Parts: sequence; C-alpha cells; structure tokens
Amino acid sequence: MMQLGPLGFASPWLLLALIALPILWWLLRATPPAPLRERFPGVAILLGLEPPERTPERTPWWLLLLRLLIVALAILAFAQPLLNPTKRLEGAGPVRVILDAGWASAADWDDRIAAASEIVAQAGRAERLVKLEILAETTDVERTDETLPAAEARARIEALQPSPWAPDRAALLTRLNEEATAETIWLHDGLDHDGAATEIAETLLGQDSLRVIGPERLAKAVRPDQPEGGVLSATVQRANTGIETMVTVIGYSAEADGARRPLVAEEATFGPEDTTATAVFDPPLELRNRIAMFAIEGNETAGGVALIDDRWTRRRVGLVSGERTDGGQRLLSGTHYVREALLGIAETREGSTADLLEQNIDALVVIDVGAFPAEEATALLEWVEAGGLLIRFAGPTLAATAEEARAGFGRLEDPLLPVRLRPGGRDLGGAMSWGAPQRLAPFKPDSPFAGLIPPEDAAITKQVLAEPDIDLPTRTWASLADGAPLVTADTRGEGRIVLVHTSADPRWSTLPISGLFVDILDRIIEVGSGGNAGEQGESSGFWRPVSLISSNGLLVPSQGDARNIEGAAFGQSATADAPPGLYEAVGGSDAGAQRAHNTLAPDAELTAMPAFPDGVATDTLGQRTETELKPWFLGAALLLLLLDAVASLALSGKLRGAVAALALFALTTPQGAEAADDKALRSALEGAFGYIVTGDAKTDDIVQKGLFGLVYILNARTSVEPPLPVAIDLENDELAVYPFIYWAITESQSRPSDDAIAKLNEYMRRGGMLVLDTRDQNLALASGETPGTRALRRLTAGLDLPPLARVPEGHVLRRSFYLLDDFPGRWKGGGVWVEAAPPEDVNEAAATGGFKNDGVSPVLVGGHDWIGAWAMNDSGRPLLPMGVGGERQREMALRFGVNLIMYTYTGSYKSDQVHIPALLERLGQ
Amino acid sequence: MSQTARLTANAAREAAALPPLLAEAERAAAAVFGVHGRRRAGSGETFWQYRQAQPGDAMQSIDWRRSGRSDEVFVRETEWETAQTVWLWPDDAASMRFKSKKAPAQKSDRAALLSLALAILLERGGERFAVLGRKDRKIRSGRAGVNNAAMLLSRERDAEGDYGFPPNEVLYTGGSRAVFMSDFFGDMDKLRAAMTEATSRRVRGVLLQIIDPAEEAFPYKGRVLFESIAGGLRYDADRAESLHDAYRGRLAERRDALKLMARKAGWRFAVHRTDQPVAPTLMMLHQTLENARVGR
Repeated sequence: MMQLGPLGFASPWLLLALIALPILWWLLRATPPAPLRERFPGVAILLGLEPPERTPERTPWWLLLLRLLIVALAILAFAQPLLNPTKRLEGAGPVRVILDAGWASAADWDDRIAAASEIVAQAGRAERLVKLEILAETTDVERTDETLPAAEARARIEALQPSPWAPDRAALLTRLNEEATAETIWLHDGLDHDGAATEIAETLLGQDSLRVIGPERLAKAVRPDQPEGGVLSATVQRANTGIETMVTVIGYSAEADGARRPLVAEEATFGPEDTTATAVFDPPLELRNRIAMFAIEGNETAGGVALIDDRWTRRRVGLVSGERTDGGQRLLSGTHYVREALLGIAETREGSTADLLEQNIDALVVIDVGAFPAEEATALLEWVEAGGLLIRFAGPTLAATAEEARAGFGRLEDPLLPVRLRPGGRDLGGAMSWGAPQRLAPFKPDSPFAGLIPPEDAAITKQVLAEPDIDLPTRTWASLADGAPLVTADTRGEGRIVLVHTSADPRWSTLPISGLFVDILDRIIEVGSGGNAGEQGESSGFWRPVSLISSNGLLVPSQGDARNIEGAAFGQSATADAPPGLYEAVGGSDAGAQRAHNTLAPDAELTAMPAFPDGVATDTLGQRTETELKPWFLGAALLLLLLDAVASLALSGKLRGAVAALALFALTTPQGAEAADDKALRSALEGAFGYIVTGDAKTDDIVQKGLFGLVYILNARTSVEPPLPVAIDLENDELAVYPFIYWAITESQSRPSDDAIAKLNEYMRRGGMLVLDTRDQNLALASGETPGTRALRRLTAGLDLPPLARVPEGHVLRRSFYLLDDFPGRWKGGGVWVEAAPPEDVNEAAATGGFKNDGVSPVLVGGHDWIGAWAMNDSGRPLLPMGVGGERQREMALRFGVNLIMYTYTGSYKSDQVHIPALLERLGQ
Repeated sequence: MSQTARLTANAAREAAALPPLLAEAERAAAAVFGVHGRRRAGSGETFWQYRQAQPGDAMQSIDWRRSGRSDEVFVRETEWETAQTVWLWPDDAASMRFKSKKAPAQKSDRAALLSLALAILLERGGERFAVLGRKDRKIRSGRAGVNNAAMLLSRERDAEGDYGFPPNEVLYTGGSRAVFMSDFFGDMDKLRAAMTEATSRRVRGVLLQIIDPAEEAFPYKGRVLFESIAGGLRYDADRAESLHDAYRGRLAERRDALKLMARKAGWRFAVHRTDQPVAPTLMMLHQTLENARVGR
C-alpha cells in the first residue's frame, strides 16, 4: 500500500514498470512506421535515384506521446489505484466488528452497512474470520457468539436493521473481558450512551489494535417538555456544542391508518454553547390535541421523534358557578380561584350549564351549586355517563341543599354527587367550635394525588361531610388528618363525578390559595379524562404496546409478538425489553390509559463520545469512500488505444475506409423503437383490442382469431366497431392505448419482467380491462385447481390484483347488452371472477382504498376459453368445436363477449340504468 | 457448339463494351470541328475542279473534252483521295493502368479514347488507320473499321510487363503517319529502336506522353514503398518528400530526351495529362497528322 495524497496504490511495486517508459520511447522512436505501399508507374524514373537523406520517417511526436501515455495508464491501472483508500486490515486472526446499531446509527445506516461490508469483504479477501458484535439487537435474535466466515457475516450485516434504542455497551464490556480477539473495528454512533465507551476502548486497545469509525454528524434527539403552564414545547438535544444551528421540530398527528401528518412546525435555535434548544408551539386547541409526536425535521431516527400522550392534551373545562356574587369582590369568588388554577392546565369556558355542555368540554367545574333543574340534571348525567368529568365544589348552597334534603325537600340522593352528604356541615376552628382547623392527611398511594405533598399551610375550616358508607373509603381520594373525606369521587358510566368537600374560595379553607389547589385540579382533570393520575411508572398492571417507534422514527402499529412492559419502564430510556412506543394499560387502576414511552428518558441527556485514548485509529464515516480507479485507468487507456488506431489509420491514409465501415455500422442500429410507437399510435387512434403474445404459436393464433371473431360480431351487432386486434409484446409495447387486453394463460409462457408487471398494474389502475383466461375449465377438479390456475398464479405473481369475487347476481356484466345468467365459453361451470364489490359502507370503502374506477373491475379471471368459442376464420366460420352445449353455447359465449366489451366501454353506466324506474318514481312525487 | 457459344458470348461482351468507348470517342471527335474531307486537289478518282492549264502542267493532264468547249486549255483535277494509313499505338502495358486519386481516368483508358476518337476523325476524312498492339496490326477503314477498333480497344488488355513499347516489325507503308501514346517510362533504347524502324519507312508522327497528375506532381510524403503496377520494380523511399525535386528533375530529363528523339525523327512530342480535357489534344493530334501529310 502506497499513498500519494488521496490516491493510493494497492500494488505499488508495479509502478516500477514506469521506469521502462524512456526505453519504450527510444524504441518507438527508433522504429520507423510501416511504409505506405504505393503503386506508382513512375518508379522506373526513381530507380537508381540516390535519396538525399536516409533518415527514416519518424513516428510523429504526438503519436509517440499518446502511446507512452497508454502504456503509463496501463501500468498505473494494474498497480490498482484507489481514490481515498480506506485503511486496510492488518494482522491475522479473526476480526472483531462492533456495530452500535442503536437509534443514533439510523441516520447514516447505509453508510455504516457499506463500511462494515467493506471491512468484512477485506477480511474475506484475507481469509479471516469475522466476529460480529451488534450492540443494540432485539432480544429475539439469538446472539451468535461464534465467529463467522466473511460471507456469512456479510449476509448478516446486510440484513441488519438499527434498533430504536441505545446500544448496550456495558454488556459488551463484560463480554470483552471474557474473550480477547485480534484487531477490532468499532463503528460507533458518536454518543456516549452509558459511559462505557472509554473503558471499552481501553480494554480493546489493551488486547490488540482498535480502529473506530464515527459518524460525520452526531444525532440529535427530541423530547417533549412536561406540559406545565399550558405551553406545549419540545426540547431538542445535541451532544456537540460550538456552532449555532437551528432545527425545525414538526408536530405530527398519528392517523388511524398509521400515517402521520405534519400539523405544526416550529424552530428551535441552539446558541453556540447550548446543548438544548426549545421549540414552543402555540397552535389552536383542536390542532394541539391532535399532535401525537414531535420529530426533528430531516432526522429519521427513533431518538429524533418523541411521542406525547394524553398528559399533553390540553382540555377544555367549563366553569359554572352557583355563588351569589358580591359585586366585584373577586378574591372572594371561587370562580376566580378555579379559573386561575386552571390557567396552565386547560382552557376554560364559562357560561350556563346547557351552553357549556354543547361546547364539547372535557370537564365541568361546578362551584357551589346545590341542585340542578330536572332537565339540566338529566342532561348533565347523560353527559357524565358519556365520559364527562364533573367536578363540584362545596359551598354554602350545597350545604343548604343537604339540609333541605333532610328536611324532606328534594331528593335524598343526588346522582350528581359521588357520596351522600350529611346534613349540616362541619365547622372547625371557628369561634363557636372547639377543634382546630384541620390539615390534610398525606395522600394514600392508590389515590390519584399520590406523590403530592400536602402543604403545611393548607387548613380546612369548614366542609360538608359525607354520610358514612361502606363504599366511602374507596371513593375517597383525599381526606383530612382526622380521616374525614375531603375529595371524593365516583364513576357514572364512562365518566366521573368528583366532589371537593370544601369551597373553592378561601372562606372555608386556605386550600384555594395554596399551591396544592392547582395540582389537585390538574390531577383530577387528568384522571377524569382517562389518564393515569398517579406519578408515572408507579401504576400497577401491565402496559400493552399499541404502536411502536421504528428505528427510522416512524410510528408503526405493534405486531402481535410485541411484549407487554411493566409500568416501571416508563421514565427510563427504551431498551430491547421495553421498546419505545405508545402503550396502553392492561388492568390496574388506570386500565385504558395511554402512555408514551420514548427512546430517551425524559431526563436523559446526550453526551458526546469522550476522546479516545492514544493509539486508537479514528476515522469518519461516509466522508471518503474508497473508489477503485483501475477500471477508469484501463478505460482511459483503451480509449487512447482507439484514438491511436484512428491516428495510425489516418497517418497511413486508410482512415476513409474505416470511417465508411463505422458509418455503415451506425446506420444499421435504430429500428425497433419506432415500430412499437407506430403500432401504439395506430391502436390508439382506432381503439384496437390487444392480446398478449404468449409465445405459444398455436395459442396466439387462436387468440388472434378469437378476438377477430369478437370484433366481427361486435361490428355486426353493435355500434362498437373496433379494428382488427393487435398482438401485444408485454415487454416492449405501450399498454395504455388498448381499451381491452386478452391474456390467454399458457403453461409455457415465462414470467413477464418486473417492468412488464408494473406496466400491467398501471394499466389496471388507470381503468384498463384485462381478461385472464386459463382456457382449461374442463380440466377443473372439485377444488377448482387446473394446470392453468397454477400457471396463472405463477405468471401473475406481483400483479396488483384487486380482491376478487365471483361475479355477483345483478352485476352489470350480466346485463350490459344481453341479459345473461351464465358466462359460458367453450366450457361451462366454475367461477368467473371480477373485483369484489366494495363494502356497503362508503367510509369503510374509502378507508380500505378499494373501489376505484367507479367500481368497474379492471380484471376478469376465468377458465372458460371464451376466446376459443369466439375464434372464427376470415369468413366467419367457427374454428373450434364447442363442448356439450353446442352451437347454442357458442352464441351465449359471443353474447358474453359483447357484454364484456360493453362493460369495458361503459363501465357502471348500465347499472345506473337499472335505477331509472326508481328515479322516475321519485321524480313523479 | 461450344465454339459458337463462346464466340457469341464474346461478341455480346464486346458489343456491350463497345458503346461507351465509341460514344465517348464520338463525342470527343465531334468537339473537333472544321474537318471535312480534304477539299484539296490531289491524286484521287473523284472530280474536284477544272482549272486553266499553267505552264508546267503535264500534257497528259489536260482535259481535252473540257478544253474543246472553250478557248482555254483546262486541266481536270481530281480530289486528293489517296487514303493514307495512320498507325495508332495506345500503350496498354501495366504502367498505363494507373490512376491516382485525383485523376479522372486511367492512362490506358485515355490512350484508348484518344486513339478511337482519332480513328473516327480519320475515318471521316476517308483515311485508313491501324491500331497497333493487342496482337493486331490490321489496317482498317470505314465505319466498320471504327467499330472493330472500338471493340479491340475495349477488350481486356493482356499485360506483358510493366512498360510497353511500340511493336516492331510493323509493315509500315511508306510515308504513312503514326501516333505513339504511352507514358514512355520504359527503356528508351527499345523506344528508339521502334522509332528508328518507323522513320526508316518514312513514317512521321507524334509521341504523345500520357501521364497521370500524380506522376507529374509526385505528391508523396513519409515512408513509402513504391511499386510498379505489375510489381516488377520497387523503390523504398524513407522520406518520399525529399525525393520530390529529384523526381521532377528526372522526369524533365526524360521529356527532353524524348523531345530530342522526336525532333531528330521529324516527329512531334506532346504531353497529355489525364486530368486535362481530351479535345485540345485531339485537335492537336489531328492537325499535326494533317500537316505531316502535306509534307511539313
């Protein structure tokens, strides 16, 4: 290996041959060019003439130079020149290749695979074994510990996909300590995921040489910020600082069909020294609640996307107050405190109950309303049962209502309260009472408020009391230090009713002016809307993946084999056991809640790979790809050789003949393409039917005659007057110009090329009509299987056929011209298949993506040998004998043909005709 | 039968070859105008004119019948009708079958054309002619003679060597005329011998050197191996361009020698290059022959 700048030579000793060039120069100069032979009668005069100079005619210097250049190029070519040569493997024994293959590797995955393949190929050339270490693999794949031959290793590498989680380097470290190998090449992603990088490098360096290949650019990651203060924002992280950059974060929706749609985009700007940058979104609420994930634009890695779940959804909360407002005393109004508390949590609407219920609110906060009018109460209950969240605050009115209830007015049990209230509230620490104001008891772990710390200064002086009940403890979310329930809740249908047993204004307690008030409201609203109110990860039960983040940052529906994870996995970075995605709780207290599990933990930070210790050869991925220049050099030499030949010819005056020969050669080439275009043009102008040439001469003849017979009948009986049918070569001809293509399936035909299949797909998609006829229904067994169907399957593999169904009763094909019960050809029985009718439900049809072309089937499949029944000679005499049905059946076959062509041309028009009586009747009314 | 067949085949082939050359020769001959009979008193059968006898006229020449009708004495003159023979020798040796890139025709073709055209002109003047070479020495006359000559000249030539020489042992009739057409690149001595033989029979005529433009200009460059047409002679020139002047000099020398030889024999020497038009040369030949007859 020798290197000159970016150019290296794999066999540099061959360059020694360049020394021979001067000798060649001398030799070439010494040899005169071959003499020109000229017939010349005047030679008699020349005879005996002593030439004035005997110096031979020299080869012109430029020709000499050209030839030397050719030789020089050839020498250089055989010295195997390489542009940007990569480092070669050195030493012997197995090569260890470490691939990170984590989420950060996904962006430049192809380069990684190329680099790894190149290394493995080198190892293969040196007949060395390869030991692959793939650091982020799904646990399903059995880790192969044995070293592989290069070919197998290469196959594995090429089949490899990056994983949407971080590489497990710590595990590698333990393996490394167990086994020592020779040379190691580590394709790392430039990030220090678990702080093990340096140690790995040191261990490897201690064993043998280590070469690391890092990425050109480090991956960035995004995470959603906690939805505090009602602001939706995403933070982009980077591991390297120093330059000012700007990235765009896009908020996508996750559609039901797995697609994602960009909804909002905001820019996040990194200052020179920043490792994080925040993109703040302020979209309209409807849009905001549809955002399911954030993604860094142009960063197709799992770390570059972040899912958000219900916790980020901003809710719309209605506010109804039954307080008697004391004109202008805002600080004494519970509405004010609730409104302020909800400011960062949800959008608030105020108004009458009836109005609010129509505004599609998620929760309704009712402050101190004792009783609702009957109609309103019913509506409210219905709304709650349909999933609404009703939050009620106590107050003088509610307390009074409880009194009234005992006195016999009103109902004893209000369905809009979670518990029955005891008449007469409780007064603590007042002038007329003995007890001191009560503080809150710590929240129980199964309470939605678990994790919140009751502040010291929050004290309750007055509350309404719940009637003791066997269910009361389970309905209690928060209680006072003495055990009296403060917040109770109960479900009604899909929804919940929550009662705060004290008032929303500070007259009954100091709770509204404590920070806890906000948290409590937040939790209530969250849990009420199906979310998990508890601190994340502390839920009992399992979480089932709904959709998972793929390594390239897309959200894919989870497959059946995806495992459930435990709640503890949330809050940590994704691993092979807990892949990133959207999870749904199975069982436990928050069954049905959805949680996002992102590649990176919420508190994770990206750290760049620390500098490698001395002695590690570092390289950058993708920047310089090794290019073998040998073919270029040889090609150039060949080209010059050609030039030399031309020059030599020109010098010896023989160029004209050569030019003529060349011109003759050039003239003979262009032909076929024009012919195909010409044919297509003619067919397009006249609307000829086409048939696909099968290559079987007999079949092609029958098909040609059959289509001729059909054309004959069409001309005689209908106003469709097509010209003679045209043979189609699937590989070369343009299909779009044929309204109708007949393909008789033969076993001998070879499968069309992918291009041809693509053309047929395009043809069917654009409203063509393709008839596939196996022509051997008579051979069908009970299963319907014939040799033809097998051939059909083989030939149409890859053909994008729509879902097929037997021609249903009442299909247009049965009445587009003649009324037909059956579609006989030469054979009868068996099914004739067309595109399945679309589902009844239009929406469903649109969703499945079927039902194109106005419901006209682009394909008709059968084995009845219609073409055989249609086949006629020039004078209109049938060619092939009919089966059992005789000539009557032939007539039916021809009628089917006419119907088919009508169907091809008019589509579903005739089916509309069927509705005419009904339409007329309706018009008559 | 095979004999007849071959004869017929030959005849057909030759007839097919006849028209182009003949037509071309006719066209060339037509371009030479002002040539009609002899229109001159001489020894012939046809009456030409009566003229008054002058002192010195032989008594036998007086036409007494005419003189009896008047007082004058008249002499009856006949037109000069003595058919003379012109010997044409178009060289058909290998060296004549040469045509360089820029030349329109081979030298031998040009020689044949000139010969036939001349034959046509001579026939028109009632003269006789013979085409030498091609193993034929027959003296011909009349239209049939022209046709025969055309066939003869169109016939495939049989090369006998690189350079040709006028045939010797020709039974030249005394005082007849000859045109030798060749490139005269062959041995001068043989030519001289033939000339001597002709002159000894009081034959006078023209040496017409037919030459290709390339032979005149010598446009060759580089290393060239020159070969005579039949391949008998070779000359390897390492740098052909350096030979240019020497060649031109030698050519001029040879022409001088030919001119001298012609003048000594009372002949005329002329050069015709194949890229030149035929008519001027034809006119020149014709006039020279005419003058030679009158005795100049």
